[in-house]
Amino acid sequence: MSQDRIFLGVFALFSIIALYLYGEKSSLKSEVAEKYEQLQTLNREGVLLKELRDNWSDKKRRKREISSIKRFNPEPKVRTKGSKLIAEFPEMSRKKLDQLAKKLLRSNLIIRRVEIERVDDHNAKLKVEVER
Amino acid sequence: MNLKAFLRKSREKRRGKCLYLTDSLETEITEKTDIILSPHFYWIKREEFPVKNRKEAQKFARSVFDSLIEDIENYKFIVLDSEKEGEFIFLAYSVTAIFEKLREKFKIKDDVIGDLYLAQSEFNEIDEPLSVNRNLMLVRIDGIVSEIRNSSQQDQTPIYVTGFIRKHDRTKHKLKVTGLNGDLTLFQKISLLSIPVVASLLLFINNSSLQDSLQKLDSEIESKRDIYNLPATSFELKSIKNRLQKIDGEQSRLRSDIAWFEKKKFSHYGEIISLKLDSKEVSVKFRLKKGSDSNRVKAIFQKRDREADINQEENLLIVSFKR
Repeated sequence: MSQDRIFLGVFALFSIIALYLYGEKSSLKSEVAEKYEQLQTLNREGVLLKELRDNWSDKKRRKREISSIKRFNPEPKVRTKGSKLIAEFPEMSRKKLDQLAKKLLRSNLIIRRVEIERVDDHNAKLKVEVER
Repeated sequence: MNLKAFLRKSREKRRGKCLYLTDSLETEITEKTDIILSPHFYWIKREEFPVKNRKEAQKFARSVFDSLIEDIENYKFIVLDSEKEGEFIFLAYSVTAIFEKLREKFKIKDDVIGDLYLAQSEFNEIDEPLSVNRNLMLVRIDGIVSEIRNSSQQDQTPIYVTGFIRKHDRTKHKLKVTGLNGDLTLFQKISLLSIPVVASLLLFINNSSLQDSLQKLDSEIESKRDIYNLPATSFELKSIKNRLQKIDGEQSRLRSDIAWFEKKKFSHYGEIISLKLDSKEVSVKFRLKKGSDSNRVKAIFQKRDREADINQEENLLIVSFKR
């Protein structure tokens, strides 16, 4: 009888262990699935965020592009307003206007505002506001 | 030691310890022992049956004892061949009753009880009486093994039952003790126990590999955070992403508008007096060369934005559209 008790005890013990491990397995499985999903999301978001940062958060590049605007011929009048830099070109030919437009379009500067006003048949006044 | 003695000894060793147990015997068993039970432990009946063999006779064993035993459902049966053709020896035994008697009368513990046999099956072939002790002997009369008192006129050396047991192998008629009080055999116990043990083992291995995967995923997540320089919380990540996506949307719209004005040839219809572009609105003042071209120019702007707000003051078109 004592042998039977030992057998029952051991059987119950291992059954409990097996049940516990089964429960643990289920939770581990869902945890692994969750982590895998998280990794996939991070990968996706990471690539997207890197691209966005490269485009709009690269301060060194932005500085370089701002100084290139400042050095543009004809030289603009430059002033700052808060986080913005305002470059005004009082007189600009059609050709130069196209050059500057291309430069702006190729750049990663955050353009806040562009104003063009006709001066005469050949020249225009240009005002560009960009984030510093 | 000669070969004969060696073979005998090894055979005895293989047989293991065995004991003949009867009511008048006082014994103490301390190690696992096979037991041959005396006729007091079972019912016996000799019957003629018109069947071919023992196996077929076995089917009728229950009915043979039906009128004799009340709790027949607790009994098991063994059928032996008799010397007479068409006649069989039927044995009925109750495992529960046998174990009760072994425990209570003989004070034998369950764990020292080995295989059980009945005297009838084990001594079915004896020709000479076997002495159990000074007072008792086993005889086979008319094929039935019984215990009788030792007769006084013994002129020859008696053969003792213990010696007979040592020299002879046990028959195949071992009692079936499975199911005693729901007890299981060792094999059944091991088989049953192996289920949760194997399951635990497999689950443990499985869980370990899952833990490993989890750790690998954790370290991979950390390395991705470092590579992409991601913030610690998903809230921060969402906020940064939203801000940059908003800038990205605004800038692509603004650049597309700048590019559109740069490429579009308006000089044929007139000239742009002023142009203002920001992330919210585009406004243009356009002076027409000819008033008749106004619809064409309006169509160009409407093509750019269907909801463009267009006002005309003589040759001046004032156009604005929301972004």
